[in-house]
Amino acid sequence: MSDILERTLSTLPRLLVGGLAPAEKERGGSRAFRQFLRSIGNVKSKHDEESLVKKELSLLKQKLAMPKVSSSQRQEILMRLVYCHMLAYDVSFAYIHAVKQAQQGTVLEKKVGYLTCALFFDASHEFVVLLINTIQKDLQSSNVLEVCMALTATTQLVSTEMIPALLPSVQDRLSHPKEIVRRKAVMCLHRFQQMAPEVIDPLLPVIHKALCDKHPSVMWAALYIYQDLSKGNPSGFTSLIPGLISVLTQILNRKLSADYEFHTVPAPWLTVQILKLMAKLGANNPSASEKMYPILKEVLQRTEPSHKIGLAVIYECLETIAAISPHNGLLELATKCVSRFLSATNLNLKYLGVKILTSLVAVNPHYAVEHQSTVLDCLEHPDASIRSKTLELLHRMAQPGNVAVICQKLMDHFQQAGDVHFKTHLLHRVNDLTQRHETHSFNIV
Amino acid sequence: MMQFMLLFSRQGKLRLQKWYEAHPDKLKKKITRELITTILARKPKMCSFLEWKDMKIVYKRYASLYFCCCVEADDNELLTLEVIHRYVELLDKYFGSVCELDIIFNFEKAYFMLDELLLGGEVQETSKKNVLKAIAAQDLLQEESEEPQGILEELGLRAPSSN
Repeated sequence: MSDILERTLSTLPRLLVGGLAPAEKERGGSRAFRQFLRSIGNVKSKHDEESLVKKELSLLKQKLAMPKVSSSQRQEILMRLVYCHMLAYDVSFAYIHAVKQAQQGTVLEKKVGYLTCALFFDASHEFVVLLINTIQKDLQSSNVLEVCMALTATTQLVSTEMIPALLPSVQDRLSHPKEIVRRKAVMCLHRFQQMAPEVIDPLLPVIHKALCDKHPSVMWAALYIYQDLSKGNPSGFTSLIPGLISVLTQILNRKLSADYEFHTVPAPWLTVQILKLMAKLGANNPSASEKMYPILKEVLQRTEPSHKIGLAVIYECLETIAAISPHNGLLELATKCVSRFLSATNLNLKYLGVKILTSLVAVNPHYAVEHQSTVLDCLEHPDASIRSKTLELLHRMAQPGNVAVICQKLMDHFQQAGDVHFKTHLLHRVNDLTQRHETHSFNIV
Repeated sequence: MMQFMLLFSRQGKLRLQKWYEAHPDKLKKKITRELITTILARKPKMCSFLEWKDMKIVYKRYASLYFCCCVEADDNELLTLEVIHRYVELLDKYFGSVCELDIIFNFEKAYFMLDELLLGGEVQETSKKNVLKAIAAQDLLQEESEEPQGILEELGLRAPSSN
């Protein structure tokens, strides 16, 4: 698939140079808009672009002010404004029109209205208040599409103060017969949780129901809420572990619909979600961790590493193994897997190898010993991303015997670094090491 | 959680932007400019991940377009790459071998597609079939005068046009 895509995309420059062939696909928008897009594509300077966009904006402003604008014309004007907005021009004069578009008209008109509002402004904008009644009405609509649009808009436009007004309607949608509505409603609750964590507490029973939903995507959405809940209170949710293990077993045995299979790996996204949750639940909790050991080993051994998505699962499994209460056998297995990542020619995998090794070293510094020479190579790697991750690893590897050398290395990189944020980060690391090992003598120049 | 997604061309022109966290317009502009410059300066074989402030940037180039996502420190980088890939596959399936021009001229479709894949910065549906089904249902709203999209026929939601 991606090969085909690469090929089709690679014909682009030819298309662009030669202009648009007459046999081009049916493109959206009116002729005037297409013409505008082409002219923007051809501008030679920022100044030319500015004058072109200013002309377009004043034209659109005029059109919007006209007493009789048809619905399809208004939709197109809004889309043209979205484009100008993306080019970073001020289109605030049109915000109110976007709001109006969402407030009235057919589902199709509203759809464009909601999209435009979400692209133009965020929850902090004063106009959002004007949308609350519309969103509430649409949440209660009998039309599934309208409900879905309203739920999407809720995640994008609602501020903390608006949660109480919308919560009952969103909660009500959790029992909708359509899976897509239930899933979006759960994602909305997750958004509310991010803004105001206390909102979720009284809803725990309904969220638990969503977690047990027969449709995997609703369960999947509910896991987001549990991720956040267990961040603050991992021991409160250890009762989930048997259920999570059973889902993982079902995934490994390919009991889930083939729709969720991705390059022969069954339900990789769901697997990673569960592994992430297990990492939180098992941290510093030996009895909880003990239950997970067999299934983690199975995930590690049964996941097909031939495609990147399989490696994504393996990588997450290694992070989980490093995060929970340590199990020597699993950690040995993990160190073997790390070698595969570290020695890969693909730099993405090498980067992740350094990252997992950093997590493993936090459990026990001796895991780094056999990879020492690779680590030193990575430190001088031409790719800055790899170097910076390796410095992080180095910081974790610090022990009384090597701390002076490591600080020296960090300082060397500090002097070469250009990015202020990275420099500050390095200084914090050195500072941390000098404080933790202050009894040892330093000789850093 | 994904903080934002940017699509830009090899010439550094922004083609699509979706922000999941609120930022003032000025800051968005600054971030966009900074990231486009940084990513375009990187060599093709380099790693697709960048440390950026306390976040991570995951990017991938598909022919003339760069897809760039900003995710949080504990997000799985490889999986984010696959989210990008899934989005490209969806666009490809929908437009019938997508190209940059499709996104320039039909960017609203690309936004609607993204809204079915990600919600509030989190992946909401990974089954390609289900995302396309949701989009097809929305497309049925389009006026009858418009040409039927191939995807509708494929899903059996609309009879192929006779001509």
